[in-house]
Amino acid sequence: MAEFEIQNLTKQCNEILILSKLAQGTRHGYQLAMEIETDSDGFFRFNHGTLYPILHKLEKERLIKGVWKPEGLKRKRKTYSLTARGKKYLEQERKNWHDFFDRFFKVIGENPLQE
Amino acid sequence: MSHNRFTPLLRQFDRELDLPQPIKSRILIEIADDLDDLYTHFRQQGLSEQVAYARTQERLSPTLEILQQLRDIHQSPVQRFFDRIPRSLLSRWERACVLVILLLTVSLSIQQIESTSFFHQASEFIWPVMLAAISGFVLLLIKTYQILLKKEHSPHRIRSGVPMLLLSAGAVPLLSLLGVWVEFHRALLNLARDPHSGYLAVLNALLESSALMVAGLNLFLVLSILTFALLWRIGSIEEANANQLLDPSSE
Repeated sequence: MAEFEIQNLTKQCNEILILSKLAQGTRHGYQLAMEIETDSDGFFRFNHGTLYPILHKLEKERLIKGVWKPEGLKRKRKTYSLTARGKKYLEQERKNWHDFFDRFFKVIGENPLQE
Repeated sequence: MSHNRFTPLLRQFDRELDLPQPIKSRILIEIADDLDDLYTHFRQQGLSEQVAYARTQERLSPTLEILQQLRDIHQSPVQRFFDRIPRSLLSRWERACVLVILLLTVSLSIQQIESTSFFHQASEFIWPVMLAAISGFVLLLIKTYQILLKKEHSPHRIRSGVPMLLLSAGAVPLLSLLGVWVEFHRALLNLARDPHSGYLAVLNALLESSALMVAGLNLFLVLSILTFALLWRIGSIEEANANQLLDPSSE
């Protein structure tokens, strides 16, 4: 199991959310933010442009690929898609998150607390 | 594409996002497009203009911290290195570097001239020609350092020094040509004064002038190729700046 750095937990979580959404197909930045928010019933929300550093970091690490595609007559929009490397990384990270929650609930317990 | 609604915001990001072009433009275009699309999405949901604007801004408008994170991601290792050096020290260090480069260029050029018989054959006009060429090369070095390494892409400063560079480069063939005609004029004067031995002066002038012209044209060729490459780079940076959605008509 890969080690989780507690201080980076939110960051890692956001990265996985984005990668998982991109595993379903190409998306624009704002589409990713909106879909993640809708799918999580508003629980995960990317405010104040927090999405962009994550997207650009993932792109730098070649886990996702940003492409400028023509949209309409003069317009070009940047769309993101998951790379083969990103897919592999996502698969590994999903296992890591399962392991993390298994151990997490093992420690905190899942049953209701006794009075 | 209309981003007029968000132009003040984009201008603010433009000021605060300290990155070279075209990276900065691309980031701003991406944010601008997302702002526009999300605003349309909220409006289609029936929100008023003000509420849709506020919500869009809340979701996608990056804070200073986020812009700093973007800057960190896209910064080149060279820029990161320079950022670690205090500004005052950097400016002193830059001046020292420019001085060293200047001295090196001058001394190497003089060495080259003295060791090459070709330069000895050229007329005395080779000196102003060399001076113009050396100033051109030094200016080229400074501009290349500013644009490629220091990433100083501000629209106000990007073309500073370029007219001087063009003047230096243009002076090289002009001075060579002037030298050729002055040498010929002198030789012809000698010939007019003494028709018997004056032809030697004409031969000598022909030799000196052709050497001067070859040296001048060679220097001009190298200088103009490098200047062209630099101007091409400046042009592409300016084009990226222009595409930055900071349309002045939207003000």
